[in-house]
Amino acid sequence: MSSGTLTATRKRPKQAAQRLPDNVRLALRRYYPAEVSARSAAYYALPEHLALLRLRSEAESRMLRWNDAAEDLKKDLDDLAISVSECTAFSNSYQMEILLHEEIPFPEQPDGLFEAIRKPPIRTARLAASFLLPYWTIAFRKWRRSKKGVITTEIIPQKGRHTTRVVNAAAKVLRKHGWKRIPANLAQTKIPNMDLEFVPLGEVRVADVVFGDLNGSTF
Amino acid sequence: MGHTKSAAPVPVRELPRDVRDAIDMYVPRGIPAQSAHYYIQAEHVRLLRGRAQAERNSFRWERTVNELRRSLPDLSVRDVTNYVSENCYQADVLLHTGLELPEDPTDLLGTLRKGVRIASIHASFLAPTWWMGVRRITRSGSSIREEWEWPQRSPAQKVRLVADEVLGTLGWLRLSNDQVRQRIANVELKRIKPGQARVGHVLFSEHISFP
Repeated sequence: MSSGTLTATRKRPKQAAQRLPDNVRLALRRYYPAEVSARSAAYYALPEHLALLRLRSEAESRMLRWNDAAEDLKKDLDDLAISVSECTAFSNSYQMEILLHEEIPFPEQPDGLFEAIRKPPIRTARLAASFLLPYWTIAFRKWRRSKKGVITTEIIPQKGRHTTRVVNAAAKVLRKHGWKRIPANLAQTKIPNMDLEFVPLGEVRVADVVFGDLNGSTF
Repeated sequence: MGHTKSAAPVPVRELPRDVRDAIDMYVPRGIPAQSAHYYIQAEHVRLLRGRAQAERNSFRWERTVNELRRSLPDLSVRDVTNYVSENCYQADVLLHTGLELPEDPTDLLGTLRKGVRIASIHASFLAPTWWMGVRRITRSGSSIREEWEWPQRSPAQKVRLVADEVLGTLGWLRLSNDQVRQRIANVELKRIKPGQARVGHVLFSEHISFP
């Protein structure tokens, strides 16, 4: 798709940005180009985006911090399997997936979940802790496999076995490691006149910036 | 470009000079593409800048697309270049006469029930080379299937000859199917599993499915 520089140019109004907390505004200024659309190749060559790539690389070098948090969490949730993601290349957060079924090890591939757990629904919790700002978030997911073998996930509310226990354990462990849970209203706040590669103009929320793309699985 | 086998991966040093130079300039090596370190290497940053520069110079490609339209008056031609995540200019030519190629080609499945065939002309930003592939889009139950045709059938041949003439005058050399399918050893790309990268993935797009 052709995206000319003129049509891709835009400005983030100062007034709207001022309603955001200082730390979010600072992160936006440092890591997100303000004058060019993410649908333009020019965006990805600007210093702000290159600084974000460097930050992701530094986060990978400091993976030990996340592995330590995961070890602490495993002690508190010793009957639940945890899969820790080692990849920081495509989002702005460290991530792990917690299987909400007792005493079942995490399989190598998502398909293995359906062999290991015969009784649906399969439920997991995905924990993400940002390396852009000291916030964490959690999402509960239900996994489905179609007759053709296509696996999909769906975000579900925080209810059912282990969910409260997992949230409490995450809050305790991540507080110790310097993260606090992002307030729901801040996470959902829309950032005007901004787009991302996969989020259209006007739809970007603070959570999309703080945690990055969370659509991929941590497998 | 003398290589024709696509099955066995070849080392970069055995590739034709244009391809070798493009890999040396734009593809980090020795680091997994799933590592964040890959994306701060000079080669990757150069690739990002190269795409931005190609976007700035898009008027040249727009002229080329207009030339293709003039030379193929019966067929609908559309500039579908994605400067953000691909490494080539791209023009799609609908291989059915009397119809306009829409932004979403699956819109034509209501009219063309046997499937939509599109010739995709790729002209690299990274080396003066181009290649044409043919895609076939069909409906299978409730889902849409999109496959690259191997081998290619006419009327794509006519489009290829026209593209050869138009792009040839601008200095782009055509690569054959065998040349773009050549697998390369020890090259990793964002969306391609290790050991699966082909010349066409590097020069044009990681979204092409090679047999």
